[in-house]
Amino acid sequence: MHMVRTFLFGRRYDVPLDQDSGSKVLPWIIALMVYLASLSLTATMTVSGLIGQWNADVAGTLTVQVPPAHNEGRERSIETDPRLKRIIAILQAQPAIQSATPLPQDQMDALMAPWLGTGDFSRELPMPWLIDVEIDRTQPLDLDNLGMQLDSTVPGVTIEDHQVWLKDLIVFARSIEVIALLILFLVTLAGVTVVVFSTRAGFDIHRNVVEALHMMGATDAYIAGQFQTHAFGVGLRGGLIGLGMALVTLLVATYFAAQINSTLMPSFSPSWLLYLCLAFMPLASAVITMYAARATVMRNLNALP
Amino acid sequence: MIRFENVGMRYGNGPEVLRDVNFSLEPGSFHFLTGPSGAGKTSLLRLMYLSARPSRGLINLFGRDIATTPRQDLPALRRRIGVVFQEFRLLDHLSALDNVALPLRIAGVPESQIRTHVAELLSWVGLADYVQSRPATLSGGQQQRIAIARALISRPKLLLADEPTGNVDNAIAMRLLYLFEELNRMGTTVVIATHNEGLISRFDYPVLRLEDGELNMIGYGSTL
Repeated sequence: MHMVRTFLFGRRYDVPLDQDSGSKVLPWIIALMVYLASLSLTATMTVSGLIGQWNADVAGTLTVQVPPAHNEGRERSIETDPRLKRIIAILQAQPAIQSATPLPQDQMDALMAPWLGTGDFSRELPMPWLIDVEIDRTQPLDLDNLGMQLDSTVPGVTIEDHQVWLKDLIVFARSIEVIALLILFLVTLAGVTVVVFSTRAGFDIHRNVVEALHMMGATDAYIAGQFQTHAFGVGLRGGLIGLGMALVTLLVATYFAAQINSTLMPSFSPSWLLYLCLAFMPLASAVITMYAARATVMRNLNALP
Repeated sequence: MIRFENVGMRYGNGPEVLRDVNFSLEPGSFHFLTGPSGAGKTSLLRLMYLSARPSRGLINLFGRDIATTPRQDLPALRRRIGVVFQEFRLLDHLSALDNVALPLRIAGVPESQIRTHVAELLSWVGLADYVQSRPATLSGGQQQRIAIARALISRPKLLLADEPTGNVDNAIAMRLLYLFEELNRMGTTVVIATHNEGLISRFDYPVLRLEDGELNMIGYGSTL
């Protein structure tokens, strides 16, 4: 270890920091901080991904509901319903509308399956027709006017703009994202505080050695280098342990999420970008620990003559 | 080399431990500093090796006014001073070799040169067989010789020794004093703080005496 340190940092270890009892506990505290930070980061990125996914799914789409006719039965079909044709013709006449496609019966059945099961009886219920409309958001579209026009053609037709309900959902998701980021910040702050106090304790324990080095002409940077090299190692060790714990948690969570077969739940599958960010956590932990230790030692050294 | 003008020093809000200290040491000189315990010898040495700041007065070291010297320039000045501390201040987790090598490593001397120089000096102070020994396994006298070797390794311009013969018998004490003399002949300015007046009287060097925080030149060792 000593040789590796000398090789990596070109400097010997004059202050025996690795002999402190604090040096044995600190990596585990940092590991816990990195673990919590990794989970917060996972929550932030997952929610952010979900928002992006929702936006991508419904951005530029509308759903038009056409109520069932009074005499409609098992024989109803998209092709034979004249009301549908009239509605689609109006929709397609709008410059902002790119396409208007009725949802086929089998897709309707799939949508209703969680509530009604997979039997054929869904066709016997008076279900509305759904028309999937793709719009170009760059072009103006007066939805109120269009709604009135459709309602006068077929009474009871409604337009659902997904942006309306999505907006509320996004506000909620963003608030979760902000809370997760806040937790990430607080965990980092707590980690830095622990490192600062631990470094101060180490400085006091080894004050005699520090003063001896100082009297021999060691610069503040040389002495701080002893502490920061040690802190980097501690931060890296703690970071790797914390990352290991976070990866196990993620794998377990991904496994259980895959077992839930529900279209109501958003899918949980961590992206490669998340794994890439997590991979940098030990390095980030090492660098933050190193700079916190350096700043603390430099400030303490400033008190020496 | 060193000039003190009306220097006073106190710790915190306590009384002055040094009062109106005036003296100057020429380059290449050899001085004894004596006085009873608690007279302020260690405090005076601390001012000389820049471990403390005076509460008043002027200290000029190597031609620089210490009060106006920027803090970042002080390490370079300290590297020109070798100090033998009364309590040795050896680093217990390092071997004798690594302890003696510290000033060279701090000064950035290449590792290839360090081992040869250190082994040579340890041999000179009679510790050739203890190169890899930790201080805790050595006697007080052996530790003191390591401390002296550490102070000498970087060939300082100024050597300050605080009771360097306190833990050794007379024969070794004389040998150490001859070592300091030899270093002095090579151009190093030497100040030895000791209350062993018997030892001082064996050498014909000027003696500074501190009593109740006041410094006086009282003559030469051989005339005391």
